[in-house]
Amino acid sequence: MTTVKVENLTKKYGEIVALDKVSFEIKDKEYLAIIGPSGCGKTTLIKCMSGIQSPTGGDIYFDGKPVKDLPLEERGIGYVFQEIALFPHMNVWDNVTYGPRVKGWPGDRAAKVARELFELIRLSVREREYPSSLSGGARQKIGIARALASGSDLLFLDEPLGSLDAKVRTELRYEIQNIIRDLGLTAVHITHDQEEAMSVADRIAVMKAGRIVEIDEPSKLYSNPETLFVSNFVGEANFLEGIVTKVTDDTCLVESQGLSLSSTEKSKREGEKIVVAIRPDFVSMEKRVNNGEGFAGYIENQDFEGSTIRYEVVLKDHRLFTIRLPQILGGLAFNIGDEVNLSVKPEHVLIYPYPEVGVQKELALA
Amino acid sequence: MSNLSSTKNTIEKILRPLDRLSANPNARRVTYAVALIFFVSMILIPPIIGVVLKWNLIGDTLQNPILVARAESAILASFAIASIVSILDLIAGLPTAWFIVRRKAKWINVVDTLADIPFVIPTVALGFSILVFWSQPQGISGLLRIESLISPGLGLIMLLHFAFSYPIIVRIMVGELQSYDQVYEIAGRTLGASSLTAARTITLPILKPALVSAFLLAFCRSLSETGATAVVAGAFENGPIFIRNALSSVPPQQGPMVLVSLVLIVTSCAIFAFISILGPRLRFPVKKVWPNFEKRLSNPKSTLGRDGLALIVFAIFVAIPSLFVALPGIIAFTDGTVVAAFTGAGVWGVYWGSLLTSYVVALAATLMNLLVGFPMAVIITRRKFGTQVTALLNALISIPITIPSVALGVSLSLFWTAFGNLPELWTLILVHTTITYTYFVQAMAAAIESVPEELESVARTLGAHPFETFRKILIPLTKYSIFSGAIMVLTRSVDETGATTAVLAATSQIKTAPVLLVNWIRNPASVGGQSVVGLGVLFLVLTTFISLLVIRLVLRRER
Ligand SMILES: Nc1ncnc2c1ncn2[C@@H]1O[C@H](COP(=O)(O)OP(=O)(O)OP(=O)(O)O)[C@@H](O)[C@H]1O
Ligand SMILES: [Mg+2]
Repeated sequence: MTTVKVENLTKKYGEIVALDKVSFEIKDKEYLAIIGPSGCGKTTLIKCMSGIQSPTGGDIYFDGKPVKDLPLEERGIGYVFQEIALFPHMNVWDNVTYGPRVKGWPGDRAAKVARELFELIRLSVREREYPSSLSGGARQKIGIARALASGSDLLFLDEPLGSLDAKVRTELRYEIQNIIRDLGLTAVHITHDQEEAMSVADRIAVMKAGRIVEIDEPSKLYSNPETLFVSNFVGEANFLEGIVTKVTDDTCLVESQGLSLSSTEKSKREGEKIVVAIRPDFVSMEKRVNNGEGFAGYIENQDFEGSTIRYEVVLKDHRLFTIRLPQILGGLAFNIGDEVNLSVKPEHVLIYPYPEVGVQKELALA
Repeated sequence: MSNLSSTKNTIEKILRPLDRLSANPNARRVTYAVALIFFVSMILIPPIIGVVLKWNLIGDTLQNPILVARAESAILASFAIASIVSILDLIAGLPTAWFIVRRKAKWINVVDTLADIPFVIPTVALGFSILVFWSQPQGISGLLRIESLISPGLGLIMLLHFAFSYPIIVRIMVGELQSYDQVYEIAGRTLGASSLTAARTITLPILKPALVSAFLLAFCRSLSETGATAVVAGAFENGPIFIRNALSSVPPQQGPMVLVSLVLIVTSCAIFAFISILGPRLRFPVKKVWPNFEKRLSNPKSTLGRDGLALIVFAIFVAIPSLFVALPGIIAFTDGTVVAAFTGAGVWGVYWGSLLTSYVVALAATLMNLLVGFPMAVIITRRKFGTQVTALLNALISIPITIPSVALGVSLSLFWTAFGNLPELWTLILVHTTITYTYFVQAMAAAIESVPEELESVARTLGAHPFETFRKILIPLTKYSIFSGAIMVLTRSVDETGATTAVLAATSQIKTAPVLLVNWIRNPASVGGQSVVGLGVLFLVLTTFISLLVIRLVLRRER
């Protein structure tokens, strides 16, 4: 079993603060994904946890034991690299048994483990083949087998699928998930791909500029993010600036340039300046029948996206609003130029305090 | 100003027809063929044919058992010294290179620069420096109050060769370690390997080709070195010194000289080929791991110990002995020798003459290289004759640095006297062209390699003729490298002793500076003592320094 606890972890490269007092915990057998804009410190975070980099400050505990001063090779972790980094001068077998060998395991034990892993990753390559003759996907599978061979149950993956083709990426994503579940590993998985994070992880940590902004279950992060930043970074959202006009027991009313919306969000004060976030896929749309009061406009653009269609609607006050409809729900019934009415359920109207730095700055990726 | 632009126009007018001519594929083929023919007929064939021509002389020598025994032990000594020294250099140089690349401290740059010292000092001067340090009263022997800690002979030759091959190893390995992707080593460590285990089982095997070529370069240098070796050899004979002695006996003993040259040429080429082909297939003992033992050797204390030891070896055997070159020269400033030197009195007239000869020969050789070496570099990098021919050419190009230079000189001198009956100076220029050809072509090939071929293709699609592309794209983009390559050839040539000794008869009026200095150092009394010798050496060092300084400045401009 393995639990992880990170406290105030800080890493500075000269002036650059790559990690800024990061704290969080990972439960035993939990699959944690880390996402965030490029350069926000994801790699630095797991390099510090695994011991590849030494942090400037803070503490790291595996199973309650401090490991900060343990050298990399003694932390007993597995690490999967984006570069895959199979040893080019060793064949597949020697790559996978490298861990057991350098730990001084007897040969038959190493061989047994390697055999089991080959079975687990369901890979039909010859053991004497060299990495250069394998496909990217096969290489990364070997990379994972190699990381697991010496029996570690804490696995770090830094964009493990980043260097693979789209198709292989999706397949391998679920295989990795299965392996991790089957072996009962604790895993930390960095990715650029939100969909990948959502589909494999138990929880997702979203990072920005060296900090973890939010850490939660995927569904929660999507349907009800706690911060404006996450509402924008995870998925897509329409933002409307406005003011709280009325607060009742279970709803509040907001107004944005003459448009009134009601929301189930609580703990807002009347008169507070806020930002409303509405996800394009939580809006419904119908052809206009009345004279177009309230939430209405006309379709200016439509993009076919495959299973969904994305519409750009110009509201009465000329603001642009994005809507996404599944094709199967009659998405094709609309045309450019159509006058439409829009509606959103109060629970999908997310409200955030107006950020001190301004909306653009708050949403910026760095 | 207008004059300049009109000159430019005239040149442009002259070159235009060449541009147009170059559009003709046959014209291009002829150009490359000429470069190729020059390479084969002037660089490749002469050294091989020369000794073969005189091969009838060998018979008599083989009848003389005493001579044969001497020749045999000299040749064996050469190969033994080269192998032992190169291995020791690898063992000592690798940790230093590792330490320079991996330790992140400012003062490492000092070590980095110091490691180049034996590189930038002409080898004769280095020989002198080592001689002074180890076996003369001004050096360590004086400090220990003994006459001579290590007298000239085998031991001193080893110390000398160790010092001048050391920077080769360090330079190559620093470059390789810098461009090595450390992710493999880190991957090994995440799997539980201690840093020593990871280095031994992952990094070094991946860098094996570099280790092999570093070893080969050190090996060839040691096999070839003549001038400095003559300075420290005393009565000891290795291959080059045997040839040198045969040459300088009156009359020259041609038979033994040809015999030893032939054997050295054949064996060095064979060994070079053997190691180049088999080296990369050599397996490191990577499989076996001693986890606990290697872990103990990986801890910070052991690492510190290893780095410390590497530095001490570097300081005692390389840096300090090399720096002693300046001491006798500095003494010369206090005892009036320097005045005599600048007035050109006595031996100094000959000295300045020899320095002039050195630079004239070097300039001529550089010019020859520019003319014929550059097209050859283009042929190699742009694979003008297909992949297989290119690989073959690449291997053949290294022959002139593989063969011990004095043997090369013997053979070339025999060849050119037999076929051209050229004046000595001309032979000397041709020999220096051959000796430096490899360095120049390889340096130019590296420079051209760095210019993407697409750039030339783009120019061609825009309507430029091949020659126009060449002079307006390739030349401007590589001009700094061409310039520094040229200066490198110049310094190499000025430094050359082995082949030069072979070409110039003992009685010859012409002398180059290093050849003259070898005689001075071996017999200081004949020229008025140690401070005259020291100053002579120092002047040679200074001229080389200036050349190298120019390279540095030029290369900095390029960046
Ligand atoms: N070795 C280093 N030296 C100096 N700065 C570094 C170093 N490594 C990372 N950084 C800086 O630290 C910050 C965080 O880098 P890190 O690689 O952790 O980001 P990341 O979130 O993994 O980005 P990406 O998504 O592009 O992989 C960046 O600003 C980066 O430039
Ligand atoms: Mg990263």
